[in-house]
Amino acid sequence: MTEPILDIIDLAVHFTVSKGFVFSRRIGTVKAVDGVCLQVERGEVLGLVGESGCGKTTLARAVMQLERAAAGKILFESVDLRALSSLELRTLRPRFQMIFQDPYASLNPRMTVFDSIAEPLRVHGFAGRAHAKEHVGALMEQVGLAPRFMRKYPHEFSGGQRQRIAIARALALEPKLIIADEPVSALDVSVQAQILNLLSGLCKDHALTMILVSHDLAVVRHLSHRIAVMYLGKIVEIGDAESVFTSPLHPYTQALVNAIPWPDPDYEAAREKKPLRGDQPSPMNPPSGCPFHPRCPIAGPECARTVPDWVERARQRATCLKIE
Amino acid sequence: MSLLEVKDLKTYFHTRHGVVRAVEGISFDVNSGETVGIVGESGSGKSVAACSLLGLIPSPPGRIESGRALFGDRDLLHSTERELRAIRGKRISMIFQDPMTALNPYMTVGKQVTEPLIAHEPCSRADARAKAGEALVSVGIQDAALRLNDYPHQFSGGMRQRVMIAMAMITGPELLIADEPTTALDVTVQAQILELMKEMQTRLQMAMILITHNLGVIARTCDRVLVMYAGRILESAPLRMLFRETKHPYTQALMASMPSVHAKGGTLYTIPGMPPDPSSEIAGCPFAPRCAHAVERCRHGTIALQEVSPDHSTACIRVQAGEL
Repeated sequence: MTEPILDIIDLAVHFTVSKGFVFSRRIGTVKAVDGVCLQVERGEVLGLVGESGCGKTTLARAVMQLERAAAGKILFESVDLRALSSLELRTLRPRFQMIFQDPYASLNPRMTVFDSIAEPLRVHGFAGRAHAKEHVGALMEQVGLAPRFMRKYPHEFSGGQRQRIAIARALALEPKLIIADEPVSALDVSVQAQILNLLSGLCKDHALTMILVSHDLAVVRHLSHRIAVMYLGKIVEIGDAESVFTSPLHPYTQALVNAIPWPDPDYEAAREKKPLRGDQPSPMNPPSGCPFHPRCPIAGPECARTVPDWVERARQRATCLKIE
Repeated sequence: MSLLEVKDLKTYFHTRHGVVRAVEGISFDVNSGETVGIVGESGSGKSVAACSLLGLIPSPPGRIESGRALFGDRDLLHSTERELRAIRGKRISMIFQDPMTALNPYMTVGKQVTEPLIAHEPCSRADARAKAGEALVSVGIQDAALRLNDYPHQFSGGMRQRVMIAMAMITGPELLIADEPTTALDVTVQAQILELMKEMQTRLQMAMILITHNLGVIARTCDRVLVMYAGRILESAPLRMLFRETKHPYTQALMASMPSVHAKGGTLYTIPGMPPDPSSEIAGCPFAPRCAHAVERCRHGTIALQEVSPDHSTACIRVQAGEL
């Protein structure tokens, strides 16, 4: 096996919570990402799923160096991003790019499409002025936009088209790794399908590696080779996408799969629904032992005491004490 | 006997930029005890239709241009504000998408849950409070008696939606209108809330109109489904029939564009083009410009919803003519 393109070792991202404005004091720490180890192979699409507040976006932002990690290593092509100076980091940036959730917020409303897509090219000295126009046109064609719209502003486009612009901008520097944070959750169903097809096509054509962050397990399964499931800042299960989806090991993954409503009335009527109890606990004081034990249908007393270790199976692994 | 009979409802918004035809002549019935799902993408007019029934359309700019909505012996669309007030929150309740904006942040939950009781029934505060406690218990909120004194921000998203449900159910309404009740929630919480709503419905023998863009939620909860597009109903059928013998090309396209439960597909089906601009009048079928089966006839006149097999109606002239 070749070395992974991205190797995350024991990554932790903490946020301090303070109270008061003038004489603010620390009242706690949120461990948004708590000891995550994750390897991403070259050319794969890794789906990162979990519910809101589980730390998936923070993990993605930490890899992008948009969030300062408290501990751990982020090895991108064997270089620890956390150890780099900002100048060194900038020379590496073209190789990993991000697509954000909300295409209304991620594009500057006062910049034309051309300016938005050409900005990274200019910053990194990729193309001269004359060359840039061709380059931007080609990128727009790749994402399914007509190059004649180059001089338009973001507000003249629909949500799906804006997401295409954001994708073109991320592709401009020919990155090796793309992190897409909920790229379709702000879009309507029919538009969502267009963007998902576009992303999967691009990954194949350019041999891209992608981390796809989403709360929607159905979307993630559709695109990914592997799926990692996060709960309260930790990865609780990871493995081959179909295995994780069709035979989940961890009780949380099982609940997550069971909770998805499928557009198939017969299937919906036939299967047993087992909604989870309660809500995700506050990440400010996570439960002891296994973070899932207060909501887990099969938890025993030992689950509150012992932090579970990885249980390995042929195509996936999970952190649960109750797996035989 | 149907509980609610809507005939030819038209709601327009008269804006500075022209007339927006949000709901363009829809007719449907709701029988006692049944769940009718209204599914459609954003801008299809599903929420406006529901709000029109309860007189919740801001006027100006909104205006109900025509139609009747018979609820018992009363026409909701031609009732005075006073008459409507006697029905809203008593015989018909509504749940909204975002429980944070639907609840008043300055009022305790107890006060808000008792409000409909005090407004509609001769009921002392102490009685109302006791009933509110029971209502919170019935929607699965622990320590209900204590939590009556809490404010909405002290509840999680799922809990707030439970509070909304308790508030909507406390008067024992005959009809509940739920507008995207789970869209803002995580999947595991969504599963809990959908279960809860079904349970409450059986207990109170109540009819429900469930508005959603998610065909999975429809499949999980509804008895009958209306598919809306550009302010019109394009297809209406009992749940299983809609999924098994989908008639209208739009419904077919919508279903094909969702990731399937059974297999991890390659490319998703995408609907070309975009929904029509609601501020221009549409001749013929609103879906014709995006439809793979459209012929010249589809672009003229008005196309009415017609029964094509028992209990199954569609607004596609080619299906009506037996061509598709």
